[in-house]
Amino acid sequence: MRFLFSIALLGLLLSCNKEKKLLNRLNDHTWNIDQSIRSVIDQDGNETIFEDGQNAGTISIYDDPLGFDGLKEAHFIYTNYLGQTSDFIATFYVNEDATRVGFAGALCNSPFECDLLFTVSENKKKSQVWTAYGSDNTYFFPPDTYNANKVDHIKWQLRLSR
Amino acid sequence: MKAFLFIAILFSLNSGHSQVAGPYISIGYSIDRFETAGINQFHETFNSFWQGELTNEWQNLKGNELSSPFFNIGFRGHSDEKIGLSWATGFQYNQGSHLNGITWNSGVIQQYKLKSKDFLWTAQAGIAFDKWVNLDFFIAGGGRNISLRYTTIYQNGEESIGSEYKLNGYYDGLVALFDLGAEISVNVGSFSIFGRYTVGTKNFPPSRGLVTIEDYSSNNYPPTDFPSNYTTYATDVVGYVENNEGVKTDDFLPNRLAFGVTYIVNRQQK
Repeated sequence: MRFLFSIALLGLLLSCNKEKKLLNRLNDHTWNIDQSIRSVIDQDGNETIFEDGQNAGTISIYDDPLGFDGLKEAHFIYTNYLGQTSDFIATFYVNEDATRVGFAGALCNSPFECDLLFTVSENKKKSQVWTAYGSDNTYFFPPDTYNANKVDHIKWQLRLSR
Repeated sequence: MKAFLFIAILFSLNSGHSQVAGPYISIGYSIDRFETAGINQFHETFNSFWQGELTNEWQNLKGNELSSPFFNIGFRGHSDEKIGLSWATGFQYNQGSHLNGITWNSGVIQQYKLKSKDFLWTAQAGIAFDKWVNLDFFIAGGGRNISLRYTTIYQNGEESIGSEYKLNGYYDGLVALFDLGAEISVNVGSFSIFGRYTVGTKNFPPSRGLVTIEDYSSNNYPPTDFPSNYTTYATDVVGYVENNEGVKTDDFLPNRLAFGVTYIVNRQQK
């Protein structure tokens, strides 16, 4: 019983911060985009892939160069199957339960609706799978952000490793 | 402060008498009841707004969905005489969760997982009858973290917390707890079996909405709190913000009926 008591005490003292764990895991590394897959999910749950790119770029995550405590920055370089390259530097963040990652203001200059967000589909020490979903044929900002009664949804999945 | 004073007086009265005391560990189950009007208004306004588009609608909550097991550790003592004093002070942790969801006609599911985590300092003091039964006044103070994780699940089973739908996100809020109640326990050797009822004090501190804090991004353009009135959230953002129509953390203050068992570790006769 004393052992149980000690375990309970230890459990209280150790709190788990998922956000910090994921940030530490990603930080100070350059992650290779091993695979970039774009597909359409239809009403039956079938996926039709229309892009399958290998070694599509890199994502480097590091401490904010201006020294703001806890803030991270990311350098995102991505080339799609048409050869078009996106290359940007953005503030990088992770949500509290480590299920989504974001690149602040990555997509445009407006203060609204410009963050690039991915759901963390797989979170391992040396590999990550991040997925963005879209309504109809628009990835991030469909005109209707409320009604999910759509026949098709699109998906962009990045498979990363370091 | 008065509660501390009360406990200190009880301790001083008990000194010099025969008692058993020691560190304890308790486990139990707490049947909680919280205020559902705010979250149920979300269900009803959403169901009404999207009438005809949903195969399965939101189910209203009854208020007991965050009932949960708990554990408590601390120090406890009670008199070993005909009539004496009993006391205990400890730290308690509760964690409850509830999953609720809808299905759109397209087969897409949207759901939220509501989770509560309570961190409480507990104190009790009262009368021990013939060393078998304790009847205690009980107080608990601390905080309750309420989180709500809203996601979309596509027809292939994959779950998204992305920005493609505005409600998707991780919402959380904190509310202070100050519970008052009574406990009765029956002592059998180092064990005691207890039942307890506590009432959460309302509006302490004043209500706040459930807002996305850690999860906030520019994609969560205002309003950023989880809505209670979905109609104004979707059609009249200014009116929604002016009328503060989000779900309030104070709604989740629980009244609790709890049962459990306590084991006094290293029980000392004094």
